This record gives sequence, structure tokens and C-alpha cells, in this order.
Amino acid sequence: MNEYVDKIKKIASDMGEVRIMEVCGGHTNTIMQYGIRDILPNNIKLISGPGCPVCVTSQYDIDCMIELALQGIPVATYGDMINVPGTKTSLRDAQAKGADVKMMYSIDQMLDDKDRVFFAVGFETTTPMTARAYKNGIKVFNAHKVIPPAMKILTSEMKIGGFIDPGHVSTIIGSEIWDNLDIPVPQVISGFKPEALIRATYLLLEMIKKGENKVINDYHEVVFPKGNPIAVKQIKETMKPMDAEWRGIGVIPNSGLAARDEALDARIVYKELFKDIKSTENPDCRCGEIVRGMVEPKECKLFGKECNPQNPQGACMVSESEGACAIAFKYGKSLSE
Amino acid sequence: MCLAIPGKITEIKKDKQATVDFGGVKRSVDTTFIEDPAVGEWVLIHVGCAIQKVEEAAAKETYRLLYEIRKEDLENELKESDE
Repeated sequence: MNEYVDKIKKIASDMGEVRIMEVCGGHTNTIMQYGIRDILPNNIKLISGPGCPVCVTSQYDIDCMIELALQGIPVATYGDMINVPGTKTSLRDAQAKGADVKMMYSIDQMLDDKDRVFFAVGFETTTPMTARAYKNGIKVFNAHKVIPPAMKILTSEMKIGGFIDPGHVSTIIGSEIWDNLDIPVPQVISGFKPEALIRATYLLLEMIKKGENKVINDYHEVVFPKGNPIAVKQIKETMKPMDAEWRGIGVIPNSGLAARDEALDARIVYKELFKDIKSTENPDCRCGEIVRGMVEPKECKLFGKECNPQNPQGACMVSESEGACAIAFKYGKSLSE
Repeated sequence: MCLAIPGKITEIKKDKQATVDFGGVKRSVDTTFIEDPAVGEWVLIHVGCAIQKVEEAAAKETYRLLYEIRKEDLENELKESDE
């Protein structure tokens, strides 16, 4: 680890401020746990981007699912999602009021349950499992997000010097996707070990210094140029791109997915139930800016006070493994300190 | 949510299901997305599905690291896939 820390110090000594963004909550977790931000020179900033699927799910999508559950339609979703506060309540509160909300750990837990609607969230790592749901005739409220279009938007709006590309997302979609992203900054696909993230930071600085915009795959153990072709094929067979709303970012063209078979698209099947939904967020919650890497959790006046993991006011405080606020709370310090 | 854990295939069952050993804990895993999975091979598992084959040495190293730094998440994931 020290070898690359020394190399970073050396190469960064005559560079200005460089902002490097990681877009994977798993990376954020390692960076925080090992205090990697603390050991980098002051001019090298690691910023957390929209790497937490629960955090970027729009308030409207959450409200739609809560409405479905409250209307008596059985729903299922992955763990953290049920604790995210919607405009008025959460799926967990709906469950306490008698709604049928199933928390699952694997799609296999509902493949025989055709009456239940699957609230699908997650990035490309989690999308193939939803293809299996569609193939088994399950209706899905699809809130999946596709990462590359979001990175393109962030690059054009913010001063980002380079990206640490997500590891297991790349396992599915492959490294070639990043080559074709056409953004004016370098990228390194990294694994999750602390030394891998430090090395990725160095490789980015080296490219930034040389003015190169290449993609380096530094997680070649499980990331191949074409990714997982079987998974990619099944995703394409069952889903098509759609414009999707991200919390804090807004609508990004082609950054979401919808069922090819409209009979399995819960947004269409239950559209009458959703027509009166008016979503609003707590005006003091700064999740939107946090997922863009614009402010740190500690800059939010709710952080650690009204908003804590037991009583999250916003999505970023929910996922202890990926949410920027929950991670900052867990490790007891700011994400940039 | 994008955490993936390596495990070793110990049994191939019907309908693309397999038994995978995670450091002594055995779980049923789907292998729809794996080409020709075989007993003795290591795979990376995410929410109950294998997403990629992985070399034994890299798998063991990743598992060791996960156990070291993300013990809680690892235990949750394994508890979860049991249900």
C-alpha cells in the first residue's frame, strides 16, 4: 500500500487540485473504512458519486411502491429499500399497517409468486436477476439505473478529473462499455481492496498528468472486455432503455430500464393508481447534493441529529454499506476529512 | 448492493441451480448466467446468483479480504441467501 501512497505524493506534488469520483458504494465503504482520504495529499480529493442504488431511487418511484402496497397489492424488494422514507411514509411503515411487503435477498424467493410486484432497484450488477423475474412472468416496477449515462452528465456538469469505475457493475457490462463512453477524463476499473483503490488513484493521476483519457481495467480477475455475455443478452431480451429520474440529478436520458413486455411493466399495469401521486422531499435533506458529490454529509443540518440510521430522514442515511451518510455516520467522520 | 462474494461450486442440481460453499457455509445458488458451471469451480455470487467464474487464488484472496473488512456484510449476505 505504501508504495503507491508514496508514488501519489510524488506525482501530486506539482499538480493542482484533482477531483476523482468513485461511483460505487462498495468503493466508498472501503475508502472510508481505511481512511484513504486521510492519507492522500490535500490537493487530491476523492468524491463519492451516485453509487448507492437506494439513494438515487426517486421519491416518486418509492411513493408509487408504497401506494401499491397500501392498495393491497403484494410487493417485494431488496433489503434496504423498505426503510427509505417516501413523501408520507415508508414501505416498512406500510407493512406495519398490514400491507404485504416482502423483503428478499434473492429473486428466487419470489419467482413462484406471480401476484406479487417486484420493486427492482440496483445498478447493472443487480439487473440480470430482474431479467430472470421477467422470464418467469413476474410484474416488475423497474427502478434500475444504468451508470454510464449518469457519469457522462456528471462529467459535463462538475469538475471531475477522473473516475474510479465500479467493479462488479463492470463484471456484468464489461470493460469495453467504458472505452466507448466518450468522456474527456481517464477511468480505472478497480476492485474493492484498499490497495486496489490507492493504485487506481495513482493510475488516474498518472493519466491526468499525461493528458490521457484512457480506460485501465485494473480488476481483470472478474472484469472482461465483454462482461458476462449471458447476463447482458438476457437483460437485452427482457428490457429496453428508458429515461429515468435520479434523486438529486433529475431525468437522465436512457439511464433506466423498462420491460419489453408491457404486461409485466407495473408502471403501465397500475398507472391508474399512480396518477394522483405528488412527491416531495424533506426540504432540509441534502441527499440530492450528496449523491452528486457536491456537499458532504456533515454539511447537512439533519445529519446525526434528526437523521440517523435508526430514523433516516433521507435515502443516503439508509444503506449502511453504500449510503454516503450512513457510512459517514458509521465511521464517525466526514467523507472528506 | 453491488457486493459479490466468491464461493466454490460443490454440486450441480437441476434448473441451473447449484450448491456453493462459502468458507464452510453451503448455499443454493442460481447459475443461469454462467457458461458450463462445474463442480470445483469458483464463482462470484451476487444476491443469490453467480455472475462470473473466478480463479481459485483470486477467489480465496477476495474471500479473506471480505472476511477481514466486511465481516458484517458477508455474514448478512450468507444469512440472507439461506432464507
